[in-house]
Amino acid sequence: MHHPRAWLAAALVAGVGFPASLWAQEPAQGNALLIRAEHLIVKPGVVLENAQVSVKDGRIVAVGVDLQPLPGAQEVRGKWVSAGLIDAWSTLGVDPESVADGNVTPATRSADAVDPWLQAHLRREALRAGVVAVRAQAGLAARVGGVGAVVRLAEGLDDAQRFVARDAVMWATVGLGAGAPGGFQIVDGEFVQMPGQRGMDVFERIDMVDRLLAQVVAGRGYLVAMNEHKHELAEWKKKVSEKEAELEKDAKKAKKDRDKAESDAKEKGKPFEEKKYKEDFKKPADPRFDEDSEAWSLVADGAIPLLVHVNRDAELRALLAGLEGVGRLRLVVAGGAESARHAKHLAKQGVAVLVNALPMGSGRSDEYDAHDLSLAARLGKDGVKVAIGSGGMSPDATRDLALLAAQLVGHGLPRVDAMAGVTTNAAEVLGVERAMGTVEVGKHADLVVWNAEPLSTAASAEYVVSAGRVVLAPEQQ
Amino acid sequence: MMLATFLVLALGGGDVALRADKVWIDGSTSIDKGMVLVRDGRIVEVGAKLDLDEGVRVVECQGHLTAGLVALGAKVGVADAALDPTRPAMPEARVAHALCRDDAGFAALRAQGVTSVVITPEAAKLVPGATAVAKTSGALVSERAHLSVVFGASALSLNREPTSYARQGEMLSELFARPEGALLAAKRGQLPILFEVQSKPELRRAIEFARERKLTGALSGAPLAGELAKEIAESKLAVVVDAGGAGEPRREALAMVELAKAGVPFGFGLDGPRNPWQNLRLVAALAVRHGMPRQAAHDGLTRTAASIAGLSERAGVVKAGFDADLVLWSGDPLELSSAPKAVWIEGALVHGAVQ
Repeated sequence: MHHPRAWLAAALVAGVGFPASLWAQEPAQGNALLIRAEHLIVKPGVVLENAQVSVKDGRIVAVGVDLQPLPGAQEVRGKWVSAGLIDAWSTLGVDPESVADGNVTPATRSADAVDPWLQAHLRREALRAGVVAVRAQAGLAARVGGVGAVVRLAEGLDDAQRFVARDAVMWATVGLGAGAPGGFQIVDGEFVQMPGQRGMDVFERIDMVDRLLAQVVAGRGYLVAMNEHKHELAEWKKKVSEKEAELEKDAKKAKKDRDKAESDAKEKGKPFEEKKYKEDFKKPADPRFDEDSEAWSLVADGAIPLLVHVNRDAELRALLAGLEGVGRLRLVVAGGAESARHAKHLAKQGVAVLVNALPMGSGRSDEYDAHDLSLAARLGKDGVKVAIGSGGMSPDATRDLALLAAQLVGHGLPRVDAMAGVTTNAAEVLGVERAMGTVEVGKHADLVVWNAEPLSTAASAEYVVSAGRVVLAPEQQ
Repeated sequence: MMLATFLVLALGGGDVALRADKVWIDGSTSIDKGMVLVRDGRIVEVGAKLDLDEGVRVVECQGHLTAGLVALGAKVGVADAALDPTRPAMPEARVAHALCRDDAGFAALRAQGVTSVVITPEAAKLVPGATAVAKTSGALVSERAHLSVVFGASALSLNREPTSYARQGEMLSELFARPEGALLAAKRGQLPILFEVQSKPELRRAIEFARERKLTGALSGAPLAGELAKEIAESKLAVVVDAGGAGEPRREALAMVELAKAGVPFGFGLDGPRNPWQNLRLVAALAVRHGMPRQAAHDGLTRTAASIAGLSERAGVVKAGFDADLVLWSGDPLELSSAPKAVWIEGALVHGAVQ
């Protein structure tokens, strides 16, 4: 057993075995583009009047008020320009069967299920409404849904453009009626526990938290083991090369000695025995590869955020207590119907909340008893970072993300925070904040040219730019 | 402030004038910096500048003032009531008899700016009975506002008649051939009919049925009614558009726009509490996004809905002589970022405060 701090130290020393930018997929080359805006929302709360955005090869290369088009650049103009909206909680992008799959594993990559030809009309409607990217997630109601991807919705993109991040987040759920364990069935000759569609008592829910925490700990252990192995291997290699150098240095003498010993033996008529080289250090054994632990190690290392759909107080408390001080892990609470009472703690720990902005009626499942559209405002007041998603209940709802965000303004959320909830904060909870979410130099060019202020009722996209390409223009509508 | 306003407006002793940044008479007419004079729960006068007597208190309201919204087809106050599945027709039943005035749904509706509601019986039989109209204060306005007649499949059953559409049509014809009581009133045009329909074939059957018998009322529930806007306009029936909510299919949203284009009177129906109350305005906003004129959406929430509810002489318009059912919004009422700051029913503040 390792000391709790050991894994962190090992990770630090190792410089972390994972690339710092898992999302950094270069958009393919594109033409130059200049967008002229009457009002340019650089990021929530920062608006430039009569400004321009210059785009080249898929990236924003300049933002300002006096920009000239690059040679050969296409020009587009409009009233409002903002970063494209991101639905961090959507069911668009992967097929409904994958979304509902209860038998996914931590290593399941939703990216593998992304089907660029699926739900084409819904994608187009979402684009028209300014939503450029969503989290594609299999196993939305599963205990552990696996690794979700961030995908662009536009058609006609190649793979490098389609994925903002293939391995974006780990998704888990606690206490969902839809994911509650039910009876067993034989699937492909194996007993498989099917989801039960029922409410769960508090002990069952806490048990789910414990199991989740155990997986995080196991992932951390795996990470430590991998890092230690890496060090041991490096040390072994160093020793081997040192020994080689030493032997090299003494090679002449050794050859002389050997020749002498050989001739001596000949003279004496004895058989010559070659002195065998004996290595006194063993190559460290390769650790056992485990795909689930590998995925969890990404989470433990903070390489990808951990999104946990958890609504009720008991499991939320257990989860926060269990993950407090777990080094680099980036926790995001999804749903969080009863999370307002932990707002100060969440703010202090830097845990963001991805709220479900879909209004719910009386038929809602147990865990959403406390669901209220004022949640975002209450959390925001205490300094919690709030992202806004369409709730993953219907693929059609992604289209109405901006309206749902506006509705949260009607329930007390400042307008700036609502905009942040569908741009900057959405990007952050998906771990792609360095790629998208604002109109700043260096970001991927995922932009929307609106006919009106983005959160207003009349707003719709006149142009959508995705990975630097104009993917929606007025004549296409 | 809230208490003071409540007292001022509720005690009814003196006149009160509300002055708002914008007063919407209805969807097409508004007055900037308009005033509404309220006396004894009714609107006395509306204008840009009113000649006020001394002693009239003027309450300054920041935001837009509109008539209270009218939600059609809600199940508020009648949890699990009116579900008798055994009898195929109960024309004399009244959902009003099952009404619980303390239902939490009323407060939730008030918080959404809804001041009147048409409460419908469960459409689980051919003729489930009469609808009720209530203010969201819980006060009953009419205990027999419409007769609900079901053309949808929800009236069919496996263990009693009718089991098929064919028999459904036959039974309805029989009922209207020898009408009594509520059915007679409906046939004579004294009691409007709420035709519960879902699919387009059901819609066509209901229109044909109404045309043959010269029946009046509204078609309720068919999401694609707008695709038959022309036929509906000819039938002179109104439409209750279901407020489906976020993710409403584009085809249905466009169908709503067609209704407005064809000049069919329509209001928004809300199958709450199962369907969340917020969806009423959300769907109006969605319709606007898909091309419905703002005026039509506004009237669908107020004026036209009131007229479908049978309240055309007392609600849905900010007009002298009408009930002082008013909502003060933080901004344009069709913007979802606006919220009701204060709601009055017959002059009494029932939600929020004037700030």
